[in-house]
Order: sequence, then structure tokens, then C-alpha cells
Amino acid sequence: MAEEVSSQMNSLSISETNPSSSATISLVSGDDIVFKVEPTIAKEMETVQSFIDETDGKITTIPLPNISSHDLPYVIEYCEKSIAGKITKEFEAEFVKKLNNEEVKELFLAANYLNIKKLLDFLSQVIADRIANKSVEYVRRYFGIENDFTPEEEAKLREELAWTFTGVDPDDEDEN
Amino acid sequence: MAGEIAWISHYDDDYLQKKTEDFDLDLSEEVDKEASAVSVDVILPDDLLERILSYLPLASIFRASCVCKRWNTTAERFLWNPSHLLPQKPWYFMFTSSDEPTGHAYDPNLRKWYCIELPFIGTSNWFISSSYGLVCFMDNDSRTELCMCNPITKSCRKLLRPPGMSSDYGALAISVDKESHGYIVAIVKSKQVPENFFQWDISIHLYNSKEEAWAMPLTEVLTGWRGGDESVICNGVLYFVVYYAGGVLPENRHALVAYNISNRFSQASLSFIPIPCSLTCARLMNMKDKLVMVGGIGKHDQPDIIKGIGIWVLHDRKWEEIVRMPHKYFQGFGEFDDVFASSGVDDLIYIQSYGSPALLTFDTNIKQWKWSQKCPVAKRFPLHLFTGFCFEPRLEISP
Repeated sequence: MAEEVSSQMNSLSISETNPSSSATISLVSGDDIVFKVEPTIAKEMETVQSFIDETDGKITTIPLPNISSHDLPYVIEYCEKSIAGKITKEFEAEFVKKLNNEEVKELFLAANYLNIKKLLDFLSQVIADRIANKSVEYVRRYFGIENDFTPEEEAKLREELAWTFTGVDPDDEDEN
Repeated sequence: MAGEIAWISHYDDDYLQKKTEDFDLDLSEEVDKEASAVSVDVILPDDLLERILSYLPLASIFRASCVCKRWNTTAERFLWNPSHLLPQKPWYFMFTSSDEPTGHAYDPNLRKWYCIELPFIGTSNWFISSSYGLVCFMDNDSRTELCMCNPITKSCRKLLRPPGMSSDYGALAISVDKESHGYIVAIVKSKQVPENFFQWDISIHLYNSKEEAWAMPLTEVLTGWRGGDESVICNGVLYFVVYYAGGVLPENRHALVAYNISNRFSQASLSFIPIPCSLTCARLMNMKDKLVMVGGIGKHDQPDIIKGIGIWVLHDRKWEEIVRMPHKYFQGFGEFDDVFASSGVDDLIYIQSYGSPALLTFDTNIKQWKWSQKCPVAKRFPLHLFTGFCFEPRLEISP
């Protein structure tokens, strides 16, 4: 069954001898959902575009094992807006409002993997805004980081930087 | 969500596996590498961590260095290389005790106050001047104890005592070169000529960090004017405010004197620049190499009484008014003394009344007035005075 689909897909790609601009690109998420997008969208994703370029446009189905079908639509939505030149502060505010911390983090990694500079910059700012006023413990939990300081090292560091700990948000606030 | 997106079908894992193998592209290797680097545990690679750090305010980057050893190394490397950092708006240090040099520093990026300690300074009435991350302190008694410091890293260097006379008035200004980090310190001293009410000896002392020495002072006698405590260096020119000292009453009781310090071997003399209107007090600052003056505008019939505040920029010896403080902000200070504190860097000007810890900012770029977050100190007694100075938080520079 899998073989069949595979060969079908290959023949489909090969028959595309003249990569016209109208050919859609299929993006396959890590959980095997296929998203058909316009080639202009693919252009926004440098990783995908270089994949297409390297095969002279013969291959139009691109596996994206690191990106889930949950995250990919957000990425596509952002790219569509970007092409349309409609990335406004309002759009970005609305866009990010829908996302919880976990999703922001996943999209950030997706943007990095796909090499979409605008989205990456935007999400860096979003993450920075979300952690700017948070405690060290919160940041560790957010990124799943283990504290590898000895208690003495950490205490010393915190003492040196005591002034930077003024007015840090309490931890229980707006976690996912 | 987006209408154009449609999913076609599910493929099983085998298919995906096979497909990437079949294509045998360089990318598939990359994909695998990336896949392990950004595993589900979400370990941020260094470049992504740096990306996030680059959007954080300074204090948050410091705090990030406490997360783990890797973050510590990255944050340190990062903090010492300013090209990574977003431009940080200048901070304001507010003295909150009338005698002790203690206080809080305000970060307008995060709108937060930090309790930081200043090195070396003895009392809050010392002379202070700042430029490009460095702050210079000079004592107010002998005017010979000078120290350059970075208030964030606390690195400090005591300067040689300036030679020369004692003075009735003194003004301190510094200028740091952005590339070489070398600096010039200028002191304008002013002393009344004995038994003469109208003449004042002015001496200008310049220290250069390259030579680590004070140059021979320039001396002049001013008639009808005396120096004061306000000066700034801007584009290689030292500007200082002079005050009417008797004799023929000039149109305004303040004036500006310019002295080109970039070619001090020529016998360049002092040149007078009139002030645009009658002021109660004038504060000078270097805003992106433009000379900006914040002045208290006196009442028409009582020039000693302040009725508002104006901001001017000097273009080629001509003043251009940038803005006047709207009345509601002026009133927001409560009682406003005829003299006040004001300093600024880049696009941000701070204005503070001595009588209260209220702090107002004006962004010259977007023409916006904004109150700072409230300083965590309250006025404790009627004569509790507040003052402060603006500085750039920079780690990469040390005196």
C-alpha cells in the first residue's frame, strides 16, 4: 500500500517536467498530513524552497518530519499574510493571542527549521516578551532546562545579580 | 483557518521513511541532524538562544545567565558584544537620599526600577557627567577627586588630580569615543577676580585618556558673565552655560559659550551663543551629536518664576524649538522649582523636579511625553530633594 502511494507520488512529480508556477507544493507534516500550498508560500520557507530548487522543481512533495499538523497551518497562515504584505501589528497581536506558550515554542522551532526569517524574528520577540519578567525557575520549566549549577554557584550568581531580580512576576501567573 | 489548505490523505511512517531515502538528497541528512538538535525536549541551540536574548532587556539577560551553565556562557558572551543587543534606551539613576549617594536606576525598556549601587561617589551633590556607558564623578569640595566608572559592571578608574586653582563654580563634562572607547574629561572652573564684581577668571581643563594627563588649561577672563555647573561636549565642542554677573543688563540672564576642543593647539577662543528666551535654568545634553537644551521658561513679568519647560536643538548657532511641555505634564510634577534636573541620550530626555521623585520622559523621535513608572521612594520630609542623571547601560566598556 505504501509502495503504491510512493510510486504514484514519484511519477506525479516526474511528469511535472516544466515546473510551472501553478504547480502546488505538498507539505507533509511529521504526523503525515499533507498540506497543499501555492509555490509562493513555499518560497517563504527557505528550507522548502532550497529542496525544490535542488531538484529543479521536479519534486513537489516535501516531508517536514519536525513539524506537526497542529503547527503547520499557523506557519502557512503567517506566510500567506507575509506574501500579501499584510503583516501588521494588529495581525501579529491576533495571531499570537491564539497561541499558548507551548505552541509559541513549537512554532519558533518550526520557523527555525523552515528558515522563515520574519516569523523567527517575530516569535523571538514574542518569547522574549513572555519571559522578560519571569523568574529563573519559570524559564527553566518553559524550556525544559535542568539547572546544572551547584547551590553555591547559583547563590553566588544570584547575589551578584541581585538587582536584576527586582519585581519579577510571581510564577503562578499566566502559565499555560 | 486558511481556506486553501486541504489535507489529502494519511501516509504511514514507512512511506515517509522510504520517500526521504529515495530522494537521497543532501537535505535529508540535514533534516536528520536538525531533527536531533531540536528534539522534543526542546533544547534550544545556541543560535536560537541568542536570538531570544537579543530581544530581552538588559536585566532579563542578566537573569537568564542564572538558568544553567550553557545559558550563562551564552548570556555572558552576548552581553559583552553590544552588536547583538537591541538598542537599549538610556537609564536614569535617581538619588533618593539627600546626602547618601544611594538610589534607584530606571530602565525605560522594561519600565522598572532597580536598586543599584554606584561606585566611588561620595554624596549626591557631586558633579556627574556620562557618555557612552561611562559615568564620571567629581567631588564638590576640592573638585580634584575624579573617577570614571561603568555603573553596571562597577569597573572604576580614579583619574589624576587636575592642576590649577580652586574655584567658586565648576562644571564637568565627558565625551567617550564609540570606537576607541577613549575619553575626554573637561572641567570648566570659574572664579571671581578679586575685588572686581564683574570679572571672572575662567579656566578650562582637559583630560585625555590616551595620554592619561591633563593638558595646560585654557584661561580667559569674562566680563559681566560667570561660569556655572552646566556643560556638555558635543561633536568635539565643549559648551557651557554662563550667567549674568552684573554690569549692563543683557537681554537674557543666561548665555552659552562654545569652545572647540578638537583642535586645542590653535588659539581658538570662546564664542558666545545667545539663548532663545529668558530662562530660569538651562540643562545641556548631547543627543546623537546634536546639542539639545532643556530650559525653564520664566514668566514674562517675573523671569525668576518658572511657567513652563521648552526643549531646543542647536543648528549651526541657531536654536530651533523642538517642543514645549504640555501644561498637564508640567502640573503633574506638583510644585516645580525654577531649577530642575534634566539629562538625555540618543532619543530620550529625562526631566525631574528637585522637589519630588516624579520623572518625565520625552522621546524626541516619536515626540511623546511619558511618565516613568513610579519610583519606589516617597518624599519623606519637605526638604527631601531628588536629583539624578541619565546613562547608557553598556557592559562592553570600562574606563
